[in-house]
Amino acid sequence: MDVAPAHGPAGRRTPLRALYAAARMPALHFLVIGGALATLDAARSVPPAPPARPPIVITAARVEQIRDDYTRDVGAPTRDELTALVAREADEEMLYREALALGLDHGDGAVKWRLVEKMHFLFGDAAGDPDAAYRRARELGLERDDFVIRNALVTKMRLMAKAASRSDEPDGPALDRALEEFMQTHADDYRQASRLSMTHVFLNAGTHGAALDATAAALARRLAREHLAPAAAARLGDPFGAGGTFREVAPRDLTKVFGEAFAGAVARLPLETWSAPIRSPYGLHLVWVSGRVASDLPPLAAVRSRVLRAYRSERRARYLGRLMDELRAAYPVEVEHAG
Amino acid sequence: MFPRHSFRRLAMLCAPLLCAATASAELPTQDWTRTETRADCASYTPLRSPFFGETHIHTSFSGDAAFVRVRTTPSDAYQFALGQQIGLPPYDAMDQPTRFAQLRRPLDFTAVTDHAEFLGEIRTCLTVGLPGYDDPTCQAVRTELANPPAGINAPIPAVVVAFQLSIQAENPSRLGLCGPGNVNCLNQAALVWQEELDAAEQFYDRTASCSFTTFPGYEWTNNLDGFNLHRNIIFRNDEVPAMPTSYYEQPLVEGLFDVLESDCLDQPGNCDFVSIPHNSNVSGGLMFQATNANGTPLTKADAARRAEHERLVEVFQHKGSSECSPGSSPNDELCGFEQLQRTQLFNNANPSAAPPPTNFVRRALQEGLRQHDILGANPFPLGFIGSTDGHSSLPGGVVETDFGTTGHLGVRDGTAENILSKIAPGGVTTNGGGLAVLWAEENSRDALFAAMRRREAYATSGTRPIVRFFGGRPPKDACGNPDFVEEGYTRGVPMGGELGPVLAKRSPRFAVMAMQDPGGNGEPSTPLQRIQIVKGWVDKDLKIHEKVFDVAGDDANGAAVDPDTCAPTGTGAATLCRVWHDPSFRVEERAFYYARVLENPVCRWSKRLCNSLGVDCSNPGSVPTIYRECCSGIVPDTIQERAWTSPIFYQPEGIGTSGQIRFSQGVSGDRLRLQLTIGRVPSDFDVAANGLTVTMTEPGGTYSATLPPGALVERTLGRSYSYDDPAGTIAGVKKVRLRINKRGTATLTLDTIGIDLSHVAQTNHRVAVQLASGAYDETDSRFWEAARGKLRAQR
Repeated sequence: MDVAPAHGPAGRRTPLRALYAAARMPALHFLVIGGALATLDAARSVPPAPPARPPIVITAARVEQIRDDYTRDVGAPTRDELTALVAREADEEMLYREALALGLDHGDGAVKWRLVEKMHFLFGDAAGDPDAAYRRARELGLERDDFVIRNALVTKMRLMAKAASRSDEPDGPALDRALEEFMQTHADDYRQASRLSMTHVFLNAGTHGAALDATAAALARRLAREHLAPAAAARLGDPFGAGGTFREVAPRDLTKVFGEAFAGAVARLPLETWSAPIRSPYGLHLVWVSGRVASDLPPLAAVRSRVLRAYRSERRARYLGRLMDELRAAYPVEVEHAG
Repeated sequence: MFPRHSFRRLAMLCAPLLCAATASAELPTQDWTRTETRADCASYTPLRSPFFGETHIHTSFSGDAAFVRVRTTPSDAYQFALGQQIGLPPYDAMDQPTRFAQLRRPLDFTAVTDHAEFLGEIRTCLTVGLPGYDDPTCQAVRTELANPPAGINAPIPAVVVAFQLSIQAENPSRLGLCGPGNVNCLNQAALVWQEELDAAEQFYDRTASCSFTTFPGYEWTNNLDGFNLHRNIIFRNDEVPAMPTSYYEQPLVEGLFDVLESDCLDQPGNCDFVSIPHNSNVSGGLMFQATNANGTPLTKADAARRAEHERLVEVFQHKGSSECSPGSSPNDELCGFEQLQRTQLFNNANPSAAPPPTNFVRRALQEGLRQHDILGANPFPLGFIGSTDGHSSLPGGVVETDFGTTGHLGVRDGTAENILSKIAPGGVTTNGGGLAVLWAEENSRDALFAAMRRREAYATSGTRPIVRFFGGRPPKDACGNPDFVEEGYTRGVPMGGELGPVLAKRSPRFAVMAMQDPGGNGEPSTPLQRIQIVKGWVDKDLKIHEKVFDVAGDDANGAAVDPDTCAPTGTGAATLCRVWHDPSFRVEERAFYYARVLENPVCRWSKRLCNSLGVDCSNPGSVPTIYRECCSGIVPDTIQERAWTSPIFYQPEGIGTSGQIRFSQGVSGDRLRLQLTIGRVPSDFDVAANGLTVTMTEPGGTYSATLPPGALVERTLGRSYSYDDPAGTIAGVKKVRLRINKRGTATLTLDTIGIDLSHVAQTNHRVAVQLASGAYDETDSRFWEAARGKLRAQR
């Protein structure tokens, strides 16, 4: 796998390196976190990435706890489910440790609030004002192994990775090319339905009763003989609530009005000739198909915002995947098994 | 008459006046212009197509949806509407949904309408690091969501109640988590609103395919004292206010309109909206009371403003039908349909008394007519749509066969036990909800929005029958005429329209055509049973009346279902059609007419679910307690799915035209004779003091005659007036007679001497005749037909 270890030689820019670089750029935090978490201590210098990662140990007790939690919420996990749950635990631990290494817990409002609350719980009024309480809490190391702070930092790492995934996004014509390529590779998501134009002459089953088939056959012969224009022919039939002429409608539009069987039959008709009678829930129809437009991809400009969103979403997922791959390569994980 | 904002909407009200058509049937005129950048639709048709959709769906951005563990977003909702599968709660420990849902037939349009009230609150509580995240209420929210949901019989969790109560107070305030000045929640609400708009933009098809339309929207959730006064606000395009207006900011509907006027209608650009109330059935009679929300009496301006903004009502949705009730319409045996049997949304008590009549839309329409007679403006001229109000991001999730397994309220109806309970909200008396159907030229925002504003809309209880309804002078043989639709538009107005006495003192004709839902992808195609026309009116003593007419089909067609298999038995009609006139019509009485189309019965969702669970009501001892409502009889086993068209409103102060022009060979020898009928003249109608103006407008030009004040001489006090001038000094007018009978019905005749009407084409064409006097100003537009040197107004 093409993943440069975080502590490896300088060179190719990896997601983790990008995060370390980003952590030194306060402007990016603002971009990332929309102001809500933009309280990173900009003055503090960010350390370089640690040279080696100590192993992550998932204890047997923790595995049991994971199993119990899942059993309570969903039911007993299968062996594969348990493996996945444990792997997720390890992933979150990696993100948490990296967040601490990046100093993301410093100058963080949520972390501060949590520590102040803890101090007040432990010492009451003696905890002092929030700033004093916070300083003292950090001296006591109360931030360690706090699950609220842990969750906050894991989320923060993911948010930063999300923003960092935008940092090497192409722009201008290059972005348009990338979007065009993305649309082509996901063509099924953007393809527009085929369209068809038709006129039908409707014979109402309720009006014609037992004579319906004979009437339709006679009308079909007449249409074949007289070469009437479709619009004039439509006036030989019964009134139809949804109209007689349909221009460039998708198969779904026909299904909506005439039902599936009719829409399927019309899709197979040759152009510019009167069909044999086609049945719908309402009676029989003689159909003239005047044109077809094949299913096609729209121009990028018409769907650009949709494509851009999907493109970014895919890049984000890939970026986060690469970050996790990088971290998994850097962290040895040991899972203890009970017994 | 028009409120100050009407300029933006006037363009959409213009009548099809000046069309250079030569045939006597013509295409309706497009009454909207494009306000956004997009491709024209390839399938545009001036005769309009039916578009099926949803204007009321919630996602996890709604607080109550989040509490029932829904995690799907507006984007998911739009994907579902397009036919893609999405997940449903509960979610497993890997954050994967344990249930899925997929629409059998995609929708044409959808508006996601999350509650404006908790947009920022829920986001604040669920996003670590946000100011307010650590507030105790947010901690309680997260604790609630981290634990398995309480059982169906458990009390509603305290934190959920706290949210609920905050939108029931007369002077509501946001929860403490919102911080000083509510800045935490408002900041986040603005961001969430932007996400709503982004999702709407992403799924709106702006290409010529026009395959799907979204609308930005939100729900204003006024739950005063527990009563439902909710409205959905649907915007015309992406020009929208920076923030939704919630009940916290504006607890009165008039205040909501104040903000929407100042932040939308009065802004430069093309912002526009409709307000759609829903669940008047649990409004404690308040939704359609004939006063302002603060209790002050309605003025004419108040009524006109309400009517200007509230064009539609959601007459059917998952919490029941709001059309009518057995208590308020005892002679309509179909009003028992899908009654919620609750006085409030969150109240399990069985109602001890019949609900207030003003809980129901039929009464609102009647009251609207009455107020129109009293005030001069109708506050409730409502068209109809249906929707779901689902809270699981499932727009159009209405199908009887699916509702029992997917439900609409997240984990609240995630199990058979829950959804078959009789515990509010949700439960066995709820249903899959309905659909909104709009007749529009194309599937674009402007076209659909125009349909909403002109009320060319109908509601269904979930199925997709196709229904046309015209009023006016459609041909008596329209049901056998291939130009049914063209004639409907040419000689009348479609559903939602307004009519005057177009056939003088005789009843206008109404043409209604219904085609059964063709079904598809496993959804049934159920035959039609009958069409009814529901008339409501107000008499001269301001008493309201209603009557239901069976106009087509047969309610004794013997259709039924096999209770064990749910297989339908018997036959029905694939199409039904009728041209009908009102045998009880009185030209001076204000009235409305709407069509109700009934399908043959099918199994209700609850019956299907009970059958699938193997519940055997004939052996009560075998029925598990949790499924007892299967056999309690509080809901029927079958449902007759139905459609309700928007009403056509008969306005007695309108005019009907008859008359002719006799052309001469020579110069200035053409003679005009006009006979105008006014169903009822308004109380301030005074031609002696105000004079009158008659104007005929057509493609070739205009003829106009103004008789100044005093010209018409009063012959009998307030009853008859005349004007005679053999010289025809005023536009050739020789003689005018106006007679007003005791009921207020007036006939005006006008004859000219020989004049020059050479601008009038001697071919069939449309002529608009306008009569104005003082504040009175009415127009009748119809074809005049040429024959042997004459042109006669079409009857």
